[in-house]
Amino acid sequence: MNLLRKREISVYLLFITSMVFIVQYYLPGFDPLDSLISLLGNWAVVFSAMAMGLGLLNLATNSVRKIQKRSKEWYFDAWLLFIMLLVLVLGGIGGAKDERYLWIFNNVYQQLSPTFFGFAYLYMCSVAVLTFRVANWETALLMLGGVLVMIGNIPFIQVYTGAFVSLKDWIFAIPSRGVFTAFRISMALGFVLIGIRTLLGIERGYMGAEES
Amino acid sequence: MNDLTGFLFLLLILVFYVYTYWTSVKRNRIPHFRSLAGLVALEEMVGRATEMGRPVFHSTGLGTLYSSGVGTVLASFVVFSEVANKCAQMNTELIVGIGAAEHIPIITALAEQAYAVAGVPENLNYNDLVFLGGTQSALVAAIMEIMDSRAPSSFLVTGSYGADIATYGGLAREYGTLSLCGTTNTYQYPYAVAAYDYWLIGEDFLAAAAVISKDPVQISNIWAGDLFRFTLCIIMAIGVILSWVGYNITQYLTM
Amino acid sequence: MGITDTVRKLLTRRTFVQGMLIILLIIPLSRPLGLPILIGEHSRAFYRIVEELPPNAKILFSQVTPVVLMGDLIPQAIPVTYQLVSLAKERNWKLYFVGIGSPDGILQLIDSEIWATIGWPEEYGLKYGEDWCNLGFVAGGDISWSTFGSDIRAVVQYDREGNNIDSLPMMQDVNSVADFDIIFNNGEYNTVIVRQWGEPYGKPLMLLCLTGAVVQDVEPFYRAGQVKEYLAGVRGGADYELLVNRPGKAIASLDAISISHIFLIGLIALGNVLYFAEKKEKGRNSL
Repeated sequence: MNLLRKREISVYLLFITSMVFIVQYYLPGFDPLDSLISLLGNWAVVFSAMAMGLGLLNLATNSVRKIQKRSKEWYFDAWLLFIMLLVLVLGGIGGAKDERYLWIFNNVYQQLSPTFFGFAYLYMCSVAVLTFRVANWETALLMLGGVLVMIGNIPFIQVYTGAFVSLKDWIFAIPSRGVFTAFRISMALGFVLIGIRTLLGIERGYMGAEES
Repeated sequence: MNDLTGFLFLLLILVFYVYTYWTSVKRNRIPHFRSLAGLVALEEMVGRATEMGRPVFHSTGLGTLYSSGVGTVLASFVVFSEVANKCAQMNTELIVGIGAAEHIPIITALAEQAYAVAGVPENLNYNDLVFLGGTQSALVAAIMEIMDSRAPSSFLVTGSYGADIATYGGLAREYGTLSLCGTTNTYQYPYAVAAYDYWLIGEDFLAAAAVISKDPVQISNIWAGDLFRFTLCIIMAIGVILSWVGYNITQYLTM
Repeated sequence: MGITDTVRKLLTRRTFVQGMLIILLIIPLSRPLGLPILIGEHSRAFYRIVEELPPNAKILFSQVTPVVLMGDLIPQAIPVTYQLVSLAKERNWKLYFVGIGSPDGILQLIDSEIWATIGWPEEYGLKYGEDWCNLGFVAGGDISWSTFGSDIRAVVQYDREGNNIDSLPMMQDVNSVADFDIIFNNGEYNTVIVRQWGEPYGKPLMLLCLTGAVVQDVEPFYRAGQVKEYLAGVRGGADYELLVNRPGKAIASLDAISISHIFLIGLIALGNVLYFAEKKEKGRNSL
């Protein structure tokens, strides 16, 4: 079997690299280790930047394939390809401060990006209608808390009624904060556990199924 | 030493892990864990897609491999691996939406291995491993397009996301798609529960990897976490009681 | 077709619900209603802390707002930055801007949104390299934050203008996060900044957060004293615009926020009325 494909090599590399980071965290100030951490960190960032090229290739390949096959709405893929290459060329030639590049960034990307993010609230509204129903006492309590917090958050109502604001602040400060703190602690513990499993090479699911 | 308290807690977790490992592996005593509805649903989701002759669409999320959220990304890969295994076995079409460019080689390798292990490597359609753009807004646009054009029967959203999780849940409802959300992003939990049919949130998602494997060694790791959680509750209770009598132990916990 | 059928059809049609919402939002955005607002305690405290910063303070402003979240975060960054640059000259503050995270135009937003609105720092008498500087974009996650915290020059050699940072007079005695007096963060990575900069170096953290649920993430750190103060999204931005007496995007958005909240509460109430009406109908039909 190809030596590089041996899963054990990946596991050993992972263990050694992780131990370097863990030792450096608990014993800072040891210069050679700090330099090594810095170097590894920079390598990780470089890998990530190289991966963007891979993403570009994947997008371009898919778009070209759809254009060649004249798939449904193939012209949108042609437009995607054109814009992608245009921005790449403008940015590559003129740099991040190129006027034309900045025009596209400021007037196209900066407008479209938050617009798509705004869909989240639109979909939340349509989901809320169907989901927030008083089916039993638990959902009634949930809805009551939610509605009280929403009313307390309405800016102009806060001016006229201190009661809703106090109630909202109490809900945020006591039950909600307690729950979110518990979630955070639980999640942090989960990260530590998955880290231990991965570090020790016990968790190998991310490497895929083992060939028998 | 930096962060002595954190180190002691980590040591405690390792001690518990040694104990649970010895108990579960050597003495073959594995505690019963509740079943995770989201994991049980994986089979149903792939089965439904097979019966309807429509694809499964799995979006593996954003998130870098060198940030503190790498646990979420790893868990997403493990769930994807399981989904790819099932799709390969049931000969179901699988569309994968890859959020971050650096995940592309990993997802491709996982898909290849899943289909190879199932004995049908030729069934993997590389054209369905699609890079979605790398940012939240690009993901939303691309996923909307895939949901509209490919009409998947089941939709899995696992990994690191932002508020766009609510959008995907709404989309799934609109297209009548069975949906599952797996995330550790605390402020997305309400949307995951409200908008999706199944969910794996918080530690359930991170433990999913161990539960899928059914390996006693991995399950003992989850058990160790539970023991540590009980210990933490006891420490918190002691802290609360001591604070009532005017003694503050937090000074010792922030070394 | 009964009323319940009609209402159910309307409420389950995404086009209707979202269309109504869009129409209701367009009205206050195009013609502000001028509804009154109450300045929150967190905003007041945030403002007071900035006002009371000592002379010669070195202020690090981490700008990590991705473009996708600019609608929520930039409206609060503008008045806060305005307060900082307008007081910087008289108090001899040094302002350091940096952006660490995923490349999503985070630093470009400083130019296109913040300076474009309030004017460049030079208009306030600040000199680049001596009173303010932009250390540029640093790619990466926790590792980059941690490395920047311990040794700035390990991740940043050139500033955004291409100058070697050692050639900037204000960088002479600045080597790590420990050399700053206070840190502001606008955007994501709030818990990362607490872990990598707040805890190890004990520096006061002032966070400009996303609205709503992200505040829940920050609240435990605030109560534990790890975060000095925080602002919350457009709401916090509107409060701050009133405090610095510079009305802008945030105040203009508040009317829309009020309307959308009321609309959502109304929808939920209508959904429940429909649910109970249908339940009653089913009960009647089964008898």
